[in-house]
Amino acid sequence: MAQTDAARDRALAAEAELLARYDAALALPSIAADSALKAKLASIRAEHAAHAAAIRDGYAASPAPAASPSPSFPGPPDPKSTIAALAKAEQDAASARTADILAAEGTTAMLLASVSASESGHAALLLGSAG
Amino acid sequence: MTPLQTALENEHAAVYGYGVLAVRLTGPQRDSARNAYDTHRARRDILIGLIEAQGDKPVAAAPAYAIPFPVVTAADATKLAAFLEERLGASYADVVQMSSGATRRTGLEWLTDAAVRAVRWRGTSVAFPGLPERS
Repeated sequence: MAQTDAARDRALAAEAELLARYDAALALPSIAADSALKAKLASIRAEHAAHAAAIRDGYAASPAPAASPSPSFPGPPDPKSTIAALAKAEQDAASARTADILAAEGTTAMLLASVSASESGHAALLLGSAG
Repeated sequence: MTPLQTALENEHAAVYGYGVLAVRLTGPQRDSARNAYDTHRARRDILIGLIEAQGDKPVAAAPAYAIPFPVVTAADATKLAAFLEERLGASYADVVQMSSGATRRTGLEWLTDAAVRAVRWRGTSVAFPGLPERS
């Protein structure tokens, strides 16, 4: 699949933004000091890296503005607000894929649907609602 | 079997499975299991309607379904709940792939719901819910 695929480009840009958000969060001293929280965020970050790799697999992405000048996400550095902001970013990313999932051909739709469902799962995990 | 029929079969099994596992849980976990039981009964009925609307005959519920491991403790119960949701997620990923329009949207919503419920039962996330071949 060498041709441009706008849906994959948009999904890759969203993954790049989420990766940058997790990098910023993991760099916060308050999060680095909490080993359980740090491990949770690192594991979610790894799943976003896997999303990006799967979306890119067999696809020559358009020269991406995704490599934008490392976006920073200044926010309250306390862990609670950071986690809430990450959960919202996950949910926003999941919702933003819907139109592309409905329009894409089957295989791409299935991959992007799984990525979107994973992101909703991340939001639930971050918010820690029980059972 | 069509993806919708497979999903229906797995919803029948989920209704049965949640009935088995709910009694092993207490407190908020039992409430979650009851909520899931009601949700899966409703989805089963919606799927029956969708399949009939396509002129097909919905697969009937079996009297009982195989449970992949003994469910004795609360930990067994949550493990089974996660298993049921993961299997439904795979069904709905197939629905997304093989359908379009409103049916695909439903597949996406129910794949997402299965992924979120599985995260809550397991306490961990996965990168590709519904795509076991990728994990």
